[in-house]
Amino acid sequence: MTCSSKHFLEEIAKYWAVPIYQSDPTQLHFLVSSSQDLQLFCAKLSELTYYLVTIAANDERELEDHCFKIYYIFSHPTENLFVTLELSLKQGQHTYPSIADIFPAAQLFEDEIADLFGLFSESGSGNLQHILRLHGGYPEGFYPLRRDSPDQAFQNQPMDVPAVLTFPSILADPDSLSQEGIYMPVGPIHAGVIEPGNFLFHLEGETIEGLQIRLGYTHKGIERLFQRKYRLFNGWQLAEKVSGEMSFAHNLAYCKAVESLLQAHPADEANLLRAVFLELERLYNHIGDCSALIHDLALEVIAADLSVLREQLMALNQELTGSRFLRGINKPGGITLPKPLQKQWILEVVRRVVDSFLDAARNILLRPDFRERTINVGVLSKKAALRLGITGLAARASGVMRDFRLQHPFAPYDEDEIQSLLRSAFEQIDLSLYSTDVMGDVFARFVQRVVEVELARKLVEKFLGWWRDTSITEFCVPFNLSGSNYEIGFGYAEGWRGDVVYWIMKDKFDGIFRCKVRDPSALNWAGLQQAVALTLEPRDKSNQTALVDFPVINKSFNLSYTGVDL
Amino acid sequence: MRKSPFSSDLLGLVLRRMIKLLPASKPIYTRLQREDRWYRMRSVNIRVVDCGSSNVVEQEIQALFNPVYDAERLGFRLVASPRHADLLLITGPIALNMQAALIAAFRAMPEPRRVITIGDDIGEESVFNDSYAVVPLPHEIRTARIAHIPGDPPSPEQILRSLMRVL
Repeated sequence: MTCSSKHFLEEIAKYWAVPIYQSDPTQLHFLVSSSQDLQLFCAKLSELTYYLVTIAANDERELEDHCFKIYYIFSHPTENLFVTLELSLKQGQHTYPSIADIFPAAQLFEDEIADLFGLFSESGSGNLQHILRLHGGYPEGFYPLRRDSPDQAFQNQPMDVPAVLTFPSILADPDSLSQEGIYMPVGPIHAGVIEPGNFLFHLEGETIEGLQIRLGYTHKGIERLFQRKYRLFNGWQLAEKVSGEMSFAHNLAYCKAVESLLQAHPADEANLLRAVFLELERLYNHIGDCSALIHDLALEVIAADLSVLREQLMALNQELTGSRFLRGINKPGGITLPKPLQKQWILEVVRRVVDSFLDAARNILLRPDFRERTINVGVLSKKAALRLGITGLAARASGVMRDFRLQHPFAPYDEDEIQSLLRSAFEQIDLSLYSTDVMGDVFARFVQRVVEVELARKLVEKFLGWWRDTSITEFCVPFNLSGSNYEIGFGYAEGWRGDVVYWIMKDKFDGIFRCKVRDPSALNWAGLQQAVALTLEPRDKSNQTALVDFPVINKSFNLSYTGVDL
Repeated sequence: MRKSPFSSDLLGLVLRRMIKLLPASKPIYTRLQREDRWYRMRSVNIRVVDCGSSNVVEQEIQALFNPVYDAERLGFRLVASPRHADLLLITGPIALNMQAALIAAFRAMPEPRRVITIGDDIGEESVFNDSYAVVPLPHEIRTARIAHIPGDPPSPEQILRSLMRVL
């Protein structure tokens, strides 16, 4: 099935690009030489409904091509096929073509490249520095991911508070502020115990007219730390620190990238265990998120009940792995458990917790006060989700079928049984059951979480059904350093928010030349903005959002700040 | 209406007598103030500032206030503004981008200001210390620090135990 669209793409790509041979049949790699070719190629991909996975810039000035390179990675919408376009910038050239008009999701990556590499897109948001990652307080012309930039560059002078609060877009163009309504800045420190980020609401009475989001407050230079401090074998320790509640998914994606680089194939047992832990992570996060959302709707008793259920799963994690966040067990090559797996016990806890959760969730879905606050609130339409390139849970709730477990299945998800289980679970979501015809609202995302909790239990039961009891705790295959110099490894895992993607280039030895981390939140922040302020569609009375609904919409997405800020 | 024999005049007389008995330096509300301080020792308003953590410590602090650990029952309370806070909990390495906001939050607290840092990411052995984007804990905040809770992340139980030992 993959063959047809692969051959088709190889045929049409002849006009714009030069193919490079890839041993992995699910990867296509093209060299693009001119900016016009890139834009034409991207327009064609967009027409074929491919979507953007990530953009990774790389400083290859010390390698044979002596230039900066930008890698664009796209995914086929239904088949297991990734397409990489490689664009080389000429020596001394610091601008490159923008594809944000074709793929709006590219905007964030282009801003990021401007901040970290000092490479600017030609038609992007101007040559505005310090948009995203480096807010000021950094010296002018400091681009941390250029390999020749110093390790310590900050001036230990804290910025003044107005500089923290002012949005760069407003500084650049003060006239863009409207004369009507009021502007209300919120953040970077929020009222609750959450991560920092800055929101600027444009209010007209109670309704939200516009929303600007400024991120980057937790930027801690992780991608550079990968290059400077870590080797291929221990980089998983840092990957776990990218986004804490997705520790396992990040770790797994990192390990998969390294394994693809070194052509290591973990044992079946390790793959099974990884899938079990991935689903356990999904379980505790979805239940915790449902609890937080219900808490925001002031239904405290139910929220408290659900948070106790989450705590039971955390205790299970602690007992199984020694860490409440499933840290420290997964490594390139396999998995090491602190003690033998107690299969029956996991099954029992998961069954008990999910049963209680589903009881509570079914009740709450029928409560009129819950429905009043969630139905038709924060709508992210299917059209908008496709346009913005939303991924993961948020996309599925809007009716866009994007799940790497289905499209790019990795063992053991590639078994037929699991595939049909996934398919039937997503197809059976019948929102009409709950008498709503709107997809992509807060209610739909809640329903999606409930469905995925139920699915995660089925998957855990299936995986553990294949598990043979054993007293062995180490499931690692030894592997040697192989592969040629400066080879690229690509790894991904479908975490609970969506797909986590790691793009790693090794150096001559076992070091990391470049590690690009893509958390699903990087794509989904645009979705939150659209759901709140309708950036793509005209607003009228029927689809306006009130300010009181913002916390609920925000919780229904529950995006990561640190995963985007890195 | 007939006046009660125990009119307010009588009560006032008794009170005035009592006041005369007290030493001049101690006003009448001393006892109340002492009690107030006694109870305040068991009531701590906490403000949490994430300066760049990976969100695990935040999750654990949130879990501290769920029905399982129920830190509120022991007198700990999360407040929305640093102006209401007795104690600032700082998590994560201090990202340069958060430094100004952190100092602003710290200065907004009423005296005496107390600070506790949480997690291995913020200590001397943090893996982030070599990063260009991470700065050390600002001096004025370091002098107000009364404790550091280690762990990656510390479990809610450990956080609670440390908080109770410190206060």
